[in-house]
Amino acid sequence: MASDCTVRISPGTPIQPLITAGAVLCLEPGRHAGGLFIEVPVTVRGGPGVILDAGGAGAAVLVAGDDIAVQLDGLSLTRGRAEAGGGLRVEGFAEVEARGLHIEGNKATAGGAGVAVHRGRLRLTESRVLDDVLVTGIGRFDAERSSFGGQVLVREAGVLRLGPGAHAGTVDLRATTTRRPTLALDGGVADHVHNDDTLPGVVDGPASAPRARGGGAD
Amino acid sequence: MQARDRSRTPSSPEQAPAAPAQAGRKSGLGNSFLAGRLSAQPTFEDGTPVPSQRGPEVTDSFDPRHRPASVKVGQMGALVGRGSEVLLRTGKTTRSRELARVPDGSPAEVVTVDRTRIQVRVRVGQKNVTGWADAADFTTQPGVSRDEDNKALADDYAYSYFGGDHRPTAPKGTDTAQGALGDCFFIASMAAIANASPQAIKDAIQFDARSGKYTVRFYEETQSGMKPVYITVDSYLPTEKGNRKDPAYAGDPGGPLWPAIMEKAYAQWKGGYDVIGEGGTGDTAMAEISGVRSRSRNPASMRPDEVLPYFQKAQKDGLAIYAGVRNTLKMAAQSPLSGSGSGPYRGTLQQAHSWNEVEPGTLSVTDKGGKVGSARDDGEEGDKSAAILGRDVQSGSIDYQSHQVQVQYRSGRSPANAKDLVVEFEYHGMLNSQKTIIGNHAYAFERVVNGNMLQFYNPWGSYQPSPITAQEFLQYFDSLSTNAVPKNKTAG
Repeated sequence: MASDCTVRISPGTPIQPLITAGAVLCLEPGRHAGGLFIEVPVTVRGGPGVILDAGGAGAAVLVAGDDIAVQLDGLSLTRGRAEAGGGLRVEGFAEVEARGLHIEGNKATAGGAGVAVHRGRLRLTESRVLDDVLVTGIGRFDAERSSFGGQVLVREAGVLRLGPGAHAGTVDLRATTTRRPTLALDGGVADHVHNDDTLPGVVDGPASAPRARGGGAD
Repeated sequence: MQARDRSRTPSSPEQAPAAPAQAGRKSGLGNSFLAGRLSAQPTFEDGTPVPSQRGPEVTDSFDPRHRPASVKVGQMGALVGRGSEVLLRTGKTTRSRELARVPDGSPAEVVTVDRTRIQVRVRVGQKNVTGWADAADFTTQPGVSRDEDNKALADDYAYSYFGGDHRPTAPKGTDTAQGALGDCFFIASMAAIANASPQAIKDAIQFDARSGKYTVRFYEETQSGMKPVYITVDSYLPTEKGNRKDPAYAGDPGGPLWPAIMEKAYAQWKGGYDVIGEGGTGDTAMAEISGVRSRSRNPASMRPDEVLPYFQKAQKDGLAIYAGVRNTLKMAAQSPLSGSGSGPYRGTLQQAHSWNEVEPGTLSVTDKGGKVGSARDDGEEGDKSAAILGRDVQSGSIDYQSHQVQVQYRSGRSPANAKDLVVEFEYHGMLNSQKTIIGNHAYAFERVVNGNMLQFYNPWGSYQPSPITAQEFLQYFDSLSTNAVPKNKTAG
């Protein structure tokens, strides 16, 4: 385990009280009680076998703070439940760097069972998201070397960038009468892009770029 | 999100209300409030002028002479004529054969435009028909919801006219009554905002008596803050065809209509009733109504001893408070199957409430005697039935609506006893029938009662929950947000 950990947390130890500004929380392998609420800059680091299980009681991770940098490494997020972003929800004007995540088994009633980005920016790399994704509001989601097994919804003024090695099955865009979402295909691939006939979003980049081979999390 | 069951005994069809009188529309200026007005410029209650609406293709006058220029292919709307029915023809000329007569106010989608004639798609019974009508009969309206049993069809409602000034005078959360649309997030948000600041609701809605139209002010978040958005809607609302005074969505017959007007404006803004019926989040909706960003908490991160102080403080600070209930809950294990040998083992799952159904993909059948391996259902959301699969299962099925389960094990494989087969699953519906807590539903918080209990408001206007404890809040709710809605009059 990395030596810059400020706290090592074994399964069964509550994580929330240990989320303090600047902390580097290192989770030991096993199932940890998820349902984190992050309003301060913090790093939450896992590794193989580290599971954040929200137990159906809320989002596995909710980033709500503004002007903070949050790092999430090597975590499996599961059994999160929320209106949006059951696995990971970015609601604050935060910069969230997420690497090596596995997001599966989460639910949401309004879309984005796995991930929802409403504000701020989420950069996702080397990850696999099996649940649906929602990019909405004024949120920005950058994905590289990651795969998306569920539907990816892009709404309002949300921006989804699929960078090198990012692969989404279906991306669905719909605008409102006052603003449009954007899908930027920047080296990444979307097998199918559905753009609403009446309220279309903006698709920037080739919709049929060849699928990236090698690398990535799929 | 949960729409309310609005089963009603059909009444005899009523004559659709006549189109409003033509008086006061001499200028035919469409939707511009500012140019050429003889009376004072319309303003919101706080004195902010209503901005000029330069809506491109929509005409807002009921004067039919102004409708033809505003119709475009793909537009959603309603056929609003001058009587109880609108005639559709097989061809574009008035000499063409009659195709159908549809009730006045029938939702329609424009398929073709040819000068003063339009071809529209309209639901007639259990199918869509495409016929020609007078463009003057078309009004732009938000698309209605889709028929759950056949998405190719719009729900069988009709737009009806609700004349008069229905602005709120003393709005409160209990004015809201969600209808047959899955937008509980929005209705509960309206209720929460109204509870915290009736003035905010009053500020949001302006009425122009001459045109009979409302302009609703929402807010949209940008990188530089909240920006006002003005949406103008007329006085037509979707209603039951059998009772043209019964709003299909928000609102009850004879009740306050401001929620229905605000809902219609929201639907028009977002792209249709069908769009907002897909659901949304309360934190966003509250911000869109109030102009102030909401603040969320994650119930999963809260300790029980934090819950009551949170609500007490929020109530003391006068915040609008919104909470969402989780979709499913785990049912207690049961052994309802009977059979012998390799089976089949059959049984009906016990549910705690008649509304409850198994959540597809969550059912397991486990042999506590260890003789046969576990089995699981392979259903997905929306399925009415599914297979039950397992290493030792030859065949199995579950009907999610009748709760019936059947499992046939492979030859030579069998549990020692049928009662060893333990069935577990998650269910959706009424998560707690004693407290009346409905799953996958949004609530507006009302107040702390008895010093330590939380009272919520169901935006249906019925099935109100009993006060719940902090522990129960954490058990049932997975979303929570507050909004510091302004109390005093706000500038646009």
